Amino acid sequence: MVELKFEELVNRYYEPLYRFALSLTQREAEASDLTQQTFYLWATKGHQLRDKSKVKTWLFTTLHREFLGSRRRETRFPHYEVDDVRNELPAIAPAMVNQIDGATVMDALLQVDELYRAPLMLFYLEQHSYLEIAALLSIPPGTVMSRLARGKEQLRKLLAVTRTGGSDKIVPLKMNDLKQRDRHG
Amino acid sequence: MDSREARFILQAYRPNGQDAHDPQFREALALVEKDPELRQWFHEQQAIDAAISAKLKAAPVPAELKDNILTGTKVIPQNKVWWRQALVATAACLLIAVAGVRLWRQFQPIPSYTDPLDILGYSSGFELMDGCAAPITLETSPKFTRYCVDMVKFLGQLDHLDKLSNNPQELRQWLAKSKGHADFVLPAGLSRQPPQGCRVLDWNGKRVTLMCFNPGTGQFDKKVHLLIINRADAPDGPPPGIPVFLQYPNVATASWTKDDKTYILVCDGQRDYLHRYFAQAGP
Repeated sequence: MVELKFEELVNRYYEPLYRFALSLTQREAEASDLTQQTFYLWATKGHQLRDKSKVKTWLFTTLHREFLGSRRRETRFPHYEVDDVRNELPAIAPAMVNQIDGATVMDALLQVDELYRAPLMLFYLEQHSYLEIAALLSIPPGTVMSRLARGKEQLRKLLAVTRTGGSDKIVPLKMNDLKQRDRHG
Repeated sequence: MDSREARFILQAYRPNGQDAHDPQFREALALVEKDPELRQWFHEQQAIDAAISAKLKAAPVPAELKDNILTGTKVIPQNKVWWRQALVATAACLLIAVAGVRLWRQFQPIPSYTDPLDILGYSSGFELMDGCAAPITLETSPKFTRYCVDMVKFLGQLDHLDKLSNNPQELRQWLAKSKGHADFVLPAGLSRQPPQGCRVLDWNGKRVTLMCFNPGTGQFDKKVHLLIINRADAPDGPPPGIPVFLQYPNVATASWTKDDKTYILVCDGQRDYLHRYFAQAGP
């Protein structure tokens, strides 16, 4: 892979990085800061990366680490086995998803537990395979599969609620409410 | 692999087909081809995933974000990092080098000479007559000049003295036992300086005696080193009674011949410093 100039690198990755950051932080301003911080780190430390073909993974990994560094987890997430996931996917048709606007889908994703949100977003951004996600998040590939399955379940439940709840919003909570909920446990 | 395991694995199969050649999915995909129910499930999941993926990939990005990133990096010293680190490293190396040289020189009885071959200026001498030194112009032979240069280089390689003493008699006795030049004769000015020690050297099969003097602890006092050579071993040495001065960039020498010996006095700095040892009235 030919080494990209900084601006080309930004052009290529700033949007998926921002969306990934948004899925983690749930806040636009914080996602923007995280994206900028990631490129800042690339500008100052990127020269240390010997294999320039791994720049994409480096950017996503760095963003995720920066996010983790800014967060102290207060909740332990339950571990779900394969059997728990089986047959739990809510009934939702592709046509239903197509009728939902993108912002609503993003809102639904932001309601998914944080543990599943990161691998789910990386999966849907189609930037990384499950093996790359495993390396990026420092978890085993089997755990990635488990989290993808569980995350999809949560997301589809939320999307299904949107369609049956008679409301344009997936969930009654708005972003500000989520922030307060996060802060006050 | 059964259908349950295949469903679990295929949840990680990206809807854009990028994982089609991943061997991890091969068996599950093969099962999809055989199992109509699984196949229907899989196609439905792929369609939903593709729809969600398209929606998420279309999520709006702040319009100013790209500009902010690019503008922000203009104030990031991204190109300065390497040279700043290099500068710091160089400065550290210089500091260490300076400290090392100073430390080395502190414990070095013999000065080091950067480029002894780069001799500056002319040579001159003082004719010792009637108790005072009269300056004269003197031509020294290239052979002896070369010899002096080689001796200075040789001195720069030495790191210790074999006998340390401030007692001249004790040093002479040691030199006599060590086959050095014990019967040397010093100019009046130098004979008043306390010795520091001595060593007997072998220079290309010829015996050379090194005497070191420490004039004192004053600000302008320098250590001086005297090489004593058999006159026959020093080619085209200066004529008896007339010291010859040579100036190197940081080192000066005074050479003279007395009886059967040739002497080379060395100090770091300017040759004017060496003049005092030949003034009959004393420095």
